[in-house]
Amino acid sequence: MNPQQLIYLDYAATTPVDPMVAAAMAETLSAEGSYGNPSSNHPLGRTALAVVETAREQLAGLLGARPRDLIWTSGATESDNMAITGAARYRRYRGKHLITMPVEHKAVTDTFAALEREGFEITWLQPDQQGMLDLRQLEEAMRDDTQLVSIMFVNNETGVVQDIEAIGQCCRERDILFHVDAAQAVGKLGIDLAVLPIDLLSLTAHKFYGPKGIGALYIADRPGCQIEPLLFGGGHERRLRPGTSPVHQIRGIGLAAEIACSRLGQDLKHIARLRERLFDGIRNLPGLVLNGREQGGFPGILNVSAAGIDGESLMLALHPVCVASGSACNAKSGEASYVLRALGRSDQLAQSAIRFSIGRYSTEQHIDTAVRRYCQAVTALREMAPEVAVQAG
Amino acid sequence: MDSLAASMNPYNLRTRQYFEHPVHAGKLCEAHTVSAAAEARESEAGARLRLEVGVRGDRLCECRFQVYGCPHLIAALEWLCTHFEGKTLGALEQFRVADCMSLLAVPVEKTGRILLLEDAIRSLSDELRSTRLSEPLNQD
Repeated sequence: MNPQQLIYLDYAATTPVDPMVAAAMAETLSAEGSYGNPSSNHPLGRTALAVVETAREQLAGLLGARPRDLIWTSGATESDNMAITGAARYRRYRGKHLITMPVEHKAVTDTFAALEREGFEITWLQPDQQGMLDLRQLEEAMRDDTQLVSIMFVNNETGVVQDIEAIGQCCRERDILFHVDAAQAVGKLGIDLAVLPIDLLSLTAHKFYGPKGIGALYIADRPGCQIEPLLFGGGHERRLRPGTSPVHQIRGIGLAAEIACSRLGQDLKHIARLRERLFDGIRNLPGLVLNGREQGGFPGILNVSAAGIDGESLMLALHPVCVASGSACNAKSGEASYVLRALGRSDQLAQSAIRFSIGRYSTEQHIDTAVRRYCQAVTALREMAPEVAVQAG
Repeated sequence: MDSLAASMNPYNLRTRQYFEHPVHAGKLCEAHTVSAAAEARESEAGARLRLEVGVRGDRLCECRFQVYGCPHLIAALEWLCTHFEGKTLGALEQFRVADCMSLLAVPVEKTGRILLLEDAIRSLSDELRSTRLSEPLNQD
């Protein structure tokens, strides 16, 4: 099917590359571009290095960070692995207790599970029914041997935004490192690392109109905030992440960051307005359950469940509207979302969840079509269902 | 590239067509002297279906279904009703899950769900046969 005929409302899974970013990357890849190896000591190498360092400054500008505190990675999954495993191993002589939540992205939960098998002790904090972390619960879980807390900024399934400043403050007071998976927040919400008490922050370009395959890890320059490398093979990226820098990808993330920085308020306002239009259009459907918070969450994500509806059938019936059933990373397993199950949703409700995610290129027409298709699909599937199944939600 | 992308679609064209046009969804439209209904379910919160047939002579003159389940199950029920409406009960009893799964390219992991059709057909058949034993045939 022609992509022009599809209505893309899956911006939390990935975003289309900004045309200016794509053009800049193509130019870098061309014979006239900066194709040198940034490690080479000749004019082409130095030109490539300039591209890499300019991009680092552009990304630092978006985050309120110092350029030298950013390490290029292949994306948020690698950044999460590097930050959590690297920090836990670096500080293991101090203690082996780590804290996180079961509603984190798999890149985080699976990394913690691997550390558990290595002998680390993990406390999994349960969120409330809306997905928020209880600060008192966090404080009670903190121990003398706690080394790291990892909490995501914006939940990728529900759009719930955690109180990162308060959590970070709790960690700072106890000299515990604080890692934030900010894949869904960077380029969409204002983040000032000069102010926020964050030690390690993971991000990826393809969530803010940059290319796939490039991300970064922020490592605060403060005592005790260090990580062990996971890869070896050269002195790149402060000896933490070896490998030849992908110059075209880095140029892409840099420019995407600069564009995001210049449009942050405008994009957020646009997205918030469309989210309200979307929710207003469907909220009166009987048996609709909002997964997340009505106010205070990231407006780009709206996750709803419908009682008595099979999620897989709902997804197909929504065509040509492209949405996610929970997390795209989990979609192929066919299992009900572990995040929604952790929020206390029944299997049926979790399985019927649809995540709409809105972005820069979404329009009112897209939203109106999505509303119409969703209402039609829910009504039709309910009419088709045996009575008991409708009541089962 | 386009054909490769199409091959990765979990629903083949036939499945999508039956899913999008479930004209047999619902309850029996007409009053039938002889009719039967059967239900089958996967688990408490899983897929469930109800199959109803109206019979005239030895023919299934009307087939209807209700379902809560995935697109493959909906398509399978629509195909079943389309295919067997107007045919004999004996033909329905010849239904083979493998044929249906092949036609709709149902993934193997959904075999258990598609087998619900077989359960429902068996129940229908039993009910119709017991009805016929207790009542005179050719009522229409």
